[in-house]
Amino acid sequence: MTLSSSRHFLDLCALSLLAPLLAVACQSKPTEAAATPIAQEALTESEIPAGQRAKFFAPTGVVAYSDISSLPLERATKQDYLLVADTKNHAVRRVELATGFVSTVAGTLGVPGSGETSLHGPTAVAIAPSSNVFVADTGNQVIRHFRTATLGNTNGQPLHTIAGVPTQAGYATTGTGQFKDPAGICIGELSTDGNEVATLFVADTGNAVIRKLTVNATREPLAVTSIELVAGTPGQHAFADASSGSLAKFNHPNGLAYDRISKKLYVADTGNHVVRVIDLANGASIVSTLAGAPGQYGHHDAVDAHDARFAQPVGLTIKGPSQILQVADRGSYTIREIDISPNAGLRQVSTFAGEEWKKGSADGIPAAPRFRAPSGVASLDGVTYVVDTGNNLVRAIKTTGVGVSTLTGQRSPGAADGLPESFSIGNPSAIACDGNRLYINGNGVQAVDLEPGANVGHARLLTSESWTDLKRVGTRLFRPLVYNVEQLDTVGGETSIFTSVANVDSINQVVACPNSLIDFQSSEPSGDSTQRFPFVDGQAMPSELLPAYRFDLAACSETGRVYSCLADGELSTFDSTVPTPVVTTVSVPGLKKYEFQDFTIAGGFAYYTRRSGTGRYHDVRKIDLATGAISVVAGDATTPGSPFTAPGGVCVSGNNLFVADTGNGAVRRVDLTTAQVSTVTITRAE
Amino acid sequence: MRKVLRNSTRAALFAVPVLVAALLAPNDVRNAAASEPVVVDEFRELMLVHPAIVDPFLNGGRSHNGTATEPGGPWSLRTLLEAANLSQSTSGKNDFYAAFFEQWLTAQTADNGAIIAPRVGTPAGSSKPLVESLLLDQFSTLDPATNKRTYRLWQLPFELIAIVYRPDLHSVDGSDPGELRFVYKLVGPDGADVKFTLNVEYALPNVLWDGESVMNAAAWANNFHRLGSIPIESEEYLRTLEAMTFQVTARLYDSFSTTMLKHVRTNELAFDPNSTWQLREFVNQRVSFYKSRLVPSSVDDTPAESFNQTQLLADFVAANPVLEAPETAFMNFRLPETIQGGGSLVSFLGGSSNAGIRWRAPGASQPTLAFDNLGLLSCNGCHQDNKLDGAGNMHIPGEIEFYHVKPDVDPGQLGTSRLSKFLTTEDPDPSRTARRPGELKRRKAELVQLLAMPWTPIWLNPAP
Repeated sequence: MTLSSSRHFLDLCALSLLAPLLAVACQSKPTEAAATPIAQEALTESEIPAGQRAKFFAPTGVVAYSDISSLPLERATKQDYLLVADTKNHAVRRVELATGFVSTVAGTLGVPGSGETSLHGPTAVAIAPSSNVFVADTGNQVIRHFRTATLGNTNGQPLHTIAGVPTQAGYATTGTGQFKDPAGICIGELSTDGNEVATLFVADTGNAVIRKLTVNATREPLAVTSIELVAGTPGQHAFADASSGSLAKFNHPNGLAYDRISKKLYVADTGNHVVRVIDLANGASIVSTLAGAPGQYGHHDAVDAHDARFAQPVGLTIKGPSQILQVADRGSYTIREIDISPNAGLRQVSTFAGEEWKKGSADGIPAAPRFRAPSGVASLDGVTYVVDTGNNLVRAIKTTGVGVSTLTGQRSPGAADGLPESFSIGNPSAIACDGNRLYINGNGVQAVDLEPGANVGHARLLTSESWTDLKRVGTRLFRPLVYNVEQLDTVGGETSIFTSVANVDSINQVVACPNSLIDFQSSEPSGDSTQRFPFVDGQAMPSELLPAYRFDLAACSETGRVYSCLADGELSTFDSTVPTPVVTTVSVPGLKKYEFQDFTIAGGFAYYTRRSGTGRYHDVRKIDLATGAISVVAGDATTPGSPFTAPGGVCVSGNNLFVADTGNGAVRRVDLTTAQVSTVTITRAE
Repeated sequence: MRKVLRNSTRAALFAVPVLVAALLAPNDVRNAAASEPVVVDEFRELMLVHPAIVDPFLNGGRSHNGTATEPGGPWSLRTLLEAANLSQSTSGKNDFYAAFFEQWLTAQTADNGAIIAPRVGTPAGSSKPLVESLLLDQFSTLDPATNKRTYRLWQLPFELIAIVYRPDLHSVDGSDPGELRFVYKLVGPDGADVKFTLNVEYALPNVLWDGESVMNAAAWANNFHRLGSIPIESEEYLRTLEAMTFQVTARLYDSFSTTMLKHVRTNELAFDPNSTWQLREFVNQRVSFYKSRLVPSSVDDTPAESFNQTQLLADFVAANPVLEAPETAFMNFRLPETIQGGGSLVSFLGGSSNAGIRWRAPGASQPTLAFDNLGLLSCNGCHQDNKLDGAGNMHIPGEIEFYHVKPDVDPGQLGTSRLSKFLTTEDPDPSRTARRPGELKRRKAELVQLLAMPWTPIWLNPAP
């Protein structure tokens, strides 16, 4: 399957942590890029031993990115990831944000080395829009490169050294250069098309300097063409601001973040307990102190950043465009924020998460969240991700101060890929019923087998892909059916498939009927029509059912009758089982066009959830298809938590209506006889 | 036999001139008896509890236990135990750890013959002793076929919480420079702190690894005092301290050398919560050239419990008037291993020290000052029983219970919130007969005295 991919580049920089520890014997073979076999093939969910849960070992650097890929067959997806420098596991790990699924994409898990499949104590990682990944391979004293997997292709490529002399610490500016414990890295400037890296910045921690690597990404293999000193005095761990970078001094500089708009490079000057900024605009290299006071170890928030105090600031990331610099303040066990907006005066420093001097691993509400030596921080779509080094966890912060959750990892260190220890179905947006099985679109797509007679279900992950992202172009989950039409993507294996046809350029609508799939095409360049795909293996050819018909969200009855709301006060309907159906209408007083969030047909009723132009309603309603009468099944339209909060998908199985209670992160069961609502307890199937 | 390793044997056996030379700066003769008042920063020089020093994620991994493929840091319990383990083979090394960590499972006999009962408390609904679930299972695997455990020291669930310099334990002539102690806390499988601390205690060597450089008490005092001039949260501080501890904890060339390990001590209420606090002491006993064991030892300065409220103990106290000295003069007194009893020498010290024994004379409901001071020399008395005044209240208001370096509190910015008031606070009531002057204050005074002694300057500097 070919794949076109463009990487949405949101967060470029990364950081690092500890100065390298004791040196150990390691392989010394230098690595060279070549057409060699795959360096590291990330395992997929199905390849992970049952019950294995992801573990990290003192992870440090982290970077977040989105991978937007569009399959040629019109299934657009967006996948969000973290790349984590898992230092004591000597690997770069990838975390799928939708599910928390962790795979190893570079290095050999738990085994240090310097070969093309190995890393040694990597502490920082950065990624370019083009999928090129750069690693501060601290223990090997080099900068490594590999090209990460693209969506649907988990295979990485060999690691190769682009700067430094493997296993030899030092300071040299010629040739490949030499580094001493490089522990911070971030992308600098991009190529003119904005897709490829042009420069890298490296915190050469042991040499007390910041260096710039000019990269030629057009050649294969990618190469560094020059290494320049940006700021600092080689070998002198001290403090000095200066109008010329070479006169400045740093003390074990670490994390970096570069703002391409303002041309400012932010530096976590860990040993000096301050955050520095290097103004690189107009070819200058002016080093000043952004926040904190040199040599003053502490934790203090302040309106004036210079009155603030930090304790071993390590990780940096820029949240939002040039607005907030987030700092992993390792020694105080907190995440800090510095206002770096262009118009900020004194640049306020505040504590974003954690409680100073109180270490722990507690998540957010209601207890105060705690960290243990957080060293890496990244930001994506308003969510802050923290590599909680001392706890061996990856944490997520969704709201100021209190919304800390554990994304993956376990407190005890270890080396294992897999799903997170904790289990959550996420915030389910879609649901499909198939007897005693539910399919839920939340944290990936989960198949949930219900225990007969009990509100208990056991979930199994079918795919970690984030189908929620498709919702905005009309994705739904359909009843699983055996279907063998090549043009429709199949996910989940076995005899079940989910169908999801969407196109960001046109509006397709698909509805599953008992014996066929109805595809409403409306704006294809040619051949627009409403087609029927029969659910019979080997009969892939669709038949034209209707002319192009711009249906809104549609549902199909048990007898094959399709319904959709095309105008206020009515449902349009046709019989999909006849060769040339005729569209008729059913009067439904009070029904609004476009208000369906989801709806399903069962037993002569249309059950539906609703939305408005400003949000969601919190009830579930039904339409009597015989009379057109609307009534409330459960919930209160305007009261969240009654019990629903912004419910999404609905489906019917037997006498039960199942509701994806999106806002509450739950699946509800409504007894259609008594209208009693209960919650389905979902655990992970082992 | 007592446990102090003889420094002279260290000098005779081991000569590592190159390594030591790299650590030493040129001798810059210093007049130790300078007239300026000496200011001692106890938290940089004596009681090092700052998270930036002890936390493995803040000190550059120096106290981290490493990984399956990489060694631990120089201050990690793993490294200290590996240095104490003389065995060469994998199985021999494993036997060393098993012999130590499994001692709570069975009755033990201390080196003076005292019997120490097992500590095998089990939680309700479980048949597994807490010592297994809280400690052993975290870093070892039991083979049911052989009933033997295989240990993985990189998973040792201990974290460093203090490095303690004890200049006050130096000998009068300064040839025994005192002690250096590493204090660890046990972290349970759920991440919670467990009421168990483990001290690894070293005699400071009077000869360095080069076999020539003499480091008397004054030399060590000056090196530790120099730490007071280095920012505590700096890499320079850590590297300097590491250069100093290396001379104490390292073992070079495998079995040919030994470290200056003097004791391992434990302090727990975790393995038998229904009992009382128990303190144990161990020494590294060499049983062959390639084999040693951390065996139970009698507990220093703590009489066997059977002596409490006996005439023999009362006679002993009466025979040592230093125990009635005001303030802290008694603190340098050391209890003998044996005393005359019934016409012959008998073992005086206990095999373990258990809380709940308040040392006093026969028939006395409260200890006299001398007994209280005797109690303060003992393990349980110093940690608990003789912290109380006659009314059963803590001598120092707000004193935390039992520990002097408390494992189960947030360390705070400076780490000092772990410390007992016994260490940090002067008894506010000067009228008390057994007034506590603040233990760190006493140690500071001892350090200042040592700094006034003449010495041949040797600075233990980090390698360039």
